[in-house]
Amino acid sequence: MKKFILRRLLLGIIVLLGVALLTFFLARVVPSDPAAKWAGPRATPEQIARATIELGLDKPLYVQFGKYLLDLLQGNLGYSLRTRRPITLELQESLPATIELVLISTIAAVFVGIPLGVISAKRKDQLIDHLSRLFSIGVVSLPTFWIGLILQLVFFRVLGLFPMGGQLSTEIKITMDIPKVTGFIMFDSLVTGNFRIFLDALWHIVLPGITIGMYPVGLVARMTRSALLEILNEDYITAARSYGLSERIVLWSYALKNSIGPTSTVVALSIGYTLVNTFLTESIFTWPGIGNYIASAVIGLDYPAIMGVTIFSAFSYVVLNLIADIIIALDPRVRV
Amino acid sequence: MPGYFEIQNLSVGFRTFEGERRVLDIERLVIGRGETYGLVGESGAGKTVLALTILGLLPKPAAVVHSGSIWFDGQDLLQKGEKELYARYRGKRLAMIFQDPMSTLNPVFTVGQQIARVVEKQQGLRGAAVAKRSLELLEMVKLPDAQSTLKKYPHELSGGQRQRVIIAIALSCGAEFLIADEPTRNLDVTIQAGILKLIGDLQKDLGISVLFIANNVGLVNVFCKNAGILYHGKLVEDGPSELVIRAAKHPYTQTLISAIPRDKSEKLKFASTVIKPEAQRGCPYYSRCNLAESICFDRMPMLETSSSGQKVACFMAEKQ
Repeated sequence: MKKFILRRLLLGIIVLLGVALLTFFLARVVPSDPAAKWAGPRATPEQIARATIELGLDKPLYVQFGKYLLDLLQGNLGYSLRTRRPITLELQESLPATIELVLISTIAAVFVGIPLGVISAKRKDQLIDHLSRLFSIGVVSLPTFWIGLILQLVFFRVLGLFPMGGQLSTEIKITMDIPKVTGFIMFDSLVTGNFRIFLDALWHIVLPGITIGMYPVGLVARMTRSALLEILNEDYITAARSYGLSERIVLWSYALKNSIGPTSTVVALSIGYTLVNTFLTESIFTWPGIGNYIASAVIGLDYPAIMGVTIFSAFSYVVLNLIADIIIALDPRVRV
Repeated sequence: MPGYFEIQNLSVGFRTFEGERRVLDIERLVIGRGETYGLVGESGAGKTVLALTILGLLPKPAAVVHSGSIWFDGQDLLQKGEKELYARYRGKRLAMIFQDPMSTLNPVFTVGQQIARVVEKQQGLRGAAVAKRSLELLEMVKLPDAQSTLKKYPHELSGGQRQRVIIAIALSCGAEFLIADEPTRNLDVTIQAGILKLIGDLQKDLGISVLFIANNVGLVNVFCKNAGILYHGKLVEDGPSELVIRAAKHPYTQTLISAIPRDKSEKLKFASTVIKPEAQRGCPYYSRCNLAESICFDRMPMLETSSSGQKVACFMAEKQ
């Protein structure tokens, strides 16, 4: 098991190196002058020359790359061209909001998607199965921005049940002290006992949460269903029934544990997909997270910020896949 | 009054895209208490379907039981609902060993976990008692080093070891009627002998009845008191295995037996079969039978006691 994890870890590092190399050179070949951008819109040639030296752009490419890697290792992603603040800091600020969303969608994928798939497999070709498949196909094929807009239309405009966007109501933001322990508003408000803030945050996260959680739930339900249906035809399932084991044990333990491979892979992939999807969802719901951050970075041609987010996303992908691999290794046959 | 185990007029079909297909049509099959009955038939004859029918584990809604009864100790199993079969029969009184030891154990649980699950459910044991019982069971099936086997996953065991584990699980809760569905089919010959001996010993020690399903006539002869030959879902010959094997009356049984090579010098004989059209209403063996006459095409032969003692379903049996 240790060797297995170590090997996956090594593979992850190689992937990250590759991504760093790619982002670095892509940022160098894009037809834009970082120094000019850094120096500002009305900079004199001298100022630009100074910026070039300041940013180290006069040094050979490999030296620049080496410095870039070294900075990365120390968690330094450079400075934003727009705000001139460290990107690491800015990511830290917007990360919790995104993680809240991703967490919600992942929890939904695991605790709604998997049971939905299991029930669907158990009641194959019955009404509940048809409904769950219709739902899965629906949410997987509908574009996220469309779901988001429709939810806003129905629940904000027509029914007025939920806010249109943002993470907290403006009045709460102005009138109350937002506690800061970890940066996660819901968590922080809960541990400090600020239930009004917690409820307000909860109220705000419903629509973006549903928007972003739909796809993982549908995908996981579908994958779980098809994996289970295959497994339920296996001899060891019939055998387990012949031993008089209950249908509950057969389905939720004997069969489900065998479907852990495909299911957890899909969960991990859908988290990755969710991260990408925050780009749209956060823009629609003006959610102050990474997605919103990168959206404005792209519009403002803020290359260091774009690179930073890219590296960060790659890093999360690698970590998620590592976790998925470890979960899959619960299947004893995989551990090689 | 039906016997200890008796099948009467059982008819099972499978729904397919081309309409329903009859897979099992058994007039009568009796197994006495503590007896071993050998059921022989080629692949697709309906042997496994019969086993699953007894346990109520046929795939639904594809399979349909049309009629008949399966009497077991005075109760008709076919009249029992899923709940009662689950609560009182499967694992408790009826047990089954499946064909393929490679796929009968759940690959993601250790042997110990799989035994424990069944023992906990069926005998209500907890904690140390479970471990003790699991160990006993593995020792009962003569697995060396039982303690470490408990911690192993199925893929770490050989075919023979797995089949022993499967037998241990099947018999863990004191079942009195064991269905052994070709338990040695996928094992090496040397391992086969060991597994057969084990089943035979356990049968004697525990006094259980065994429905021994095989596609090998030779095995049944040594192993079983009575034997039946299943062809296309129909029992075509039934009686003491001595008679069925040594003095076969049904042309199909005869073909089966003549296919066994007796010694090296003998050339393998394959019965030349004249392929005729399928008899829709008549004898299922008609199309392959060398003795068939027109009556075989028109009418279905019923099991009747022959001159030598066993029951045969063949119009030509006495005319040879």
